[in-house]
Amino acid sequence: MIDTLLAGAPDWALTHAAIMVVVIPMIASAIATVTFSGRLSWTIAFVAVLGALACSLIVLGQVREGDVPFVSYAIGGWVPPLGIQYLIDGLNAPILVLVSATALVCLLFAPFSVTAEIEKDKRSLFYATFLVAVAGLLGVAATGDAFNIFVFLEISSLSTYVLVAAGARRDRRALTAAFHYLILGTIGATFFVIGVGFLYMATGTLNLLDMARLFADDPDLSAATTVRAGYAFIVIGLGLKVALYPLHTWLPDAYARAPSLVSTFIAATSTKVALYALIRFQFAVFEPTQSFQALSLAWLIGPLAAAGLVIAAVQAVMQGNARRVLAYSSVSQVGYMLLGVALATYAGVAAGVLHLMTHALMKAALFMALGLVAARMDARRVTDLAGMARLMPVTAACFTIGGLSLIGVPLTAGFVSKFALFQAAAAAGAWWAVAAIAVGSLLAFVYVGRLLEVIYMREPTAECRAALSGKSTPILALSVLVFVAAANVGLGVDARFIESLAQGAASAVGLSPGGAS
Amino acid sequence: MFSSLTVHYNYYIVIVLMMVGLYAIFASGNMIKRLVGLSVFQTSVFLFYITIGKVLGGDPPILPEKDKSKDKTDYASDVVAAPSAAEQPLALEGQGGAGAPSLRDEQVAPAGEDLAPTTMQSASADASAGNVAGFTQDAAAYGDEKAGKFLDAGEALAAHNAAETPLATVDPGVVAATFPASALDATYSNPLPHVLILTAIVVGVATLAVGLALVVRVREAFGTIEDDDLNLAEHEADLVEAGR
Repeated sequence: MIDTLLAGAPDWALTHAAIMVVVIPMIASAIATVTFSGRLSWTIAFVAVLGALACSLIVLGQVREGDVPFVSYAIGGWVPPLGIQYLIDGLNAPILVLVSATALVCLLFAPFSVTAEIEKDKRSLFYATFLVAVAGLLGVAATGDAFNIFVFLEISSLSTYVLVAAGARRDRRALTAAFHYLILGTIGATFFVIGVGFLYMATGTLNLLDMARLFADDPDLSAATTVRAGYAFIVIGLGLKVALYPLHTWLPDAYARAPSLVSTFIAATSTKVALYALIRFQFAVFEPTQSFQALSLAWLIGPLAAAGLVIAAVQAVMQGNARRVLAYSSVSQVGYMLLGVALATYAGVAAGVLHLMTHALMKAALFMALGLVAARMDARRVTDLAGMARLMPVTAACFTIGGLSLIGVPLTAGFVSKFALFQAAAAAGAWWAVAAIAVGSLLAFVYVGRLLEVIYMREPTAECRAALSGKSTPILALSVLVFVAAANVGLGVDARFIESLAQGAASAVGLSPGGAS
Repeated sequence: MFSSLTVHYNYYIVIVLMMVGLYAIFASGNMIKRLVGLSVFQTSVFLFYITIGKVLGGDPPILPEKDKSKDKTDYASDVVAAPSAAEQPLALEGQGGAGAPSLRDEQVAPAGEDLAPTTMQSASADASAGNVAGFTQDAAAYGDEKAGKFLDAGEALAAHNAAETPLATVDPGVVAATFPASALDATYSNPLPHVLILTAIVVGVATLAVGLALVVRVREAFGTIEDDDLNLAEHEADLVEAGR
């Protein structure tokens, strides 16, 4: 499919795909802001995201099959490193495709969900903000300039705060959740920009490639206190965005109270993009062989990831709100990814990136299924889902597939990535990580099992039946959900494509198989 | 320590502002006070960036236009030529140490002079590849152990672009003709942190705007913006949700 796209695309698309990925949603959001019809706004959003997806697929094709394994685009023709450069290689090309594909899937599912949850006169602005969020996330993934990452990170974060607050119609606590998220997210982004400032002081450049070269050439520079301070600030700032364990407190409320569409989208994308940025800085820019970095990976990020894995999973078991279960589960799964990254080996980073991709798929299916239920009745608590299997069988089946994938049952995508993590941890000799993954999987079984038990084993309440009797789920939304759930199984059966993407990502940051970085 | 205080007092102020802002965020019980703390925190970052960009005795980094009526002799009238491959890009900062990197050492040379910023150009940089090869190094200069794939990207990029048209650069001839020589020789403060701070200020303003809009909505929905009352309201809602 990518080949036909590459063959058929016009020349201007092939040259400028790297920048159009970001520019198309951005301009479309400006247009969508001034339209007053929700439907027109949705159409604009759909076309824009389709364009962004096409461009990201073109870029992925160019990265994988071009004569150089990356795409570089100098903004405005200004020569890097003075000019801003978009550098898309094996690590961020899959992220671009992931974000735009998730946005497309969410938009297909959107009309049904948004009609139920957002007021009519706010729908066009909602889609416009959604496009800004998409553009911001794509920008973080595409750019090769450190300060540009901050700008796009803030663009995506600000629009996400607004999107989360849009859930106030159903639950006014969405407003306080959005405010809490704003405060913590801004602290995180500001920490990141302080780190970039330190790096600029030390190296004189903002271009990631240039910084990497300067650090590689001069071990004294990369061990300097300024650089170490920059590293600390950047890791903590991005760690907050990625929901590293003690910095995750914004996530459960934001995911639980936001509109269903927003939860689906940000659960599948926002922490993943921040994780990409973290991997980029950890392995491509900084020297992972430096002692302070190796120490922080082994003694700070690793243990925090493992702790978050287990603690968040325990909290997920105890939640009464269905979406909070999934939110704490997301924190736990981010722990898996960070565990893979903290191993600092080729296999570890590849497994982390693989889990990043499969988790996006799993959570998209799960949140989407809950979104379909929420669009038809106000279902928040786990007990509200009682007996869903009888009333909405297809949705329940897709939820089950997503849940089994989360546990890591063989033949699902989740199994592939968890197994890769197991292997990587065992190969690195990190038995504490293996233990953490095992305990986490067991706890996942418990909290997913609890949800499945409620959905399948209980009788639906009378109010539930009454609420669901009138309308039925539209075919489009249902088929999108089925597609995502089927993708979980399909990738579980044949994971070669995403495995090759993950391996390409690990090698793009300079790691090589067979030995430490 | 005392000398450090007098020399680096700006950084101490940055630290104090940062901590005051963070404390205000954590310790205040009111949404607006929290936003004010956030603003103070962000302001410390602005000050930090400005401090690293300031060059003592440096002018504001604005190149004055040449006054065309006064000096016609060294104004090459047909100098607006396409950038040629032989021109060098604007030189970059040298490797910074702990101090503020500035453009004081780099000046745009009139056409014909050769600038050699050593860190940024490899010995074998071709003129046509000079634009982009300027920021990578010779493959030979890499030890095999050091060259990771990400850095290979820079090399491969240079090789890849060597065959193609070089990207647009600033023609020093044009620059020399348009600006007075004294402007080119002067010392300027580093313009890049100034630009970064303008961006960061805009981001800060946008964040404050969204935050205050949320405060207004919270006031409408809950009737209060005090943390204690909001926590109570949320707790009650949680109980209702759990107990029903």
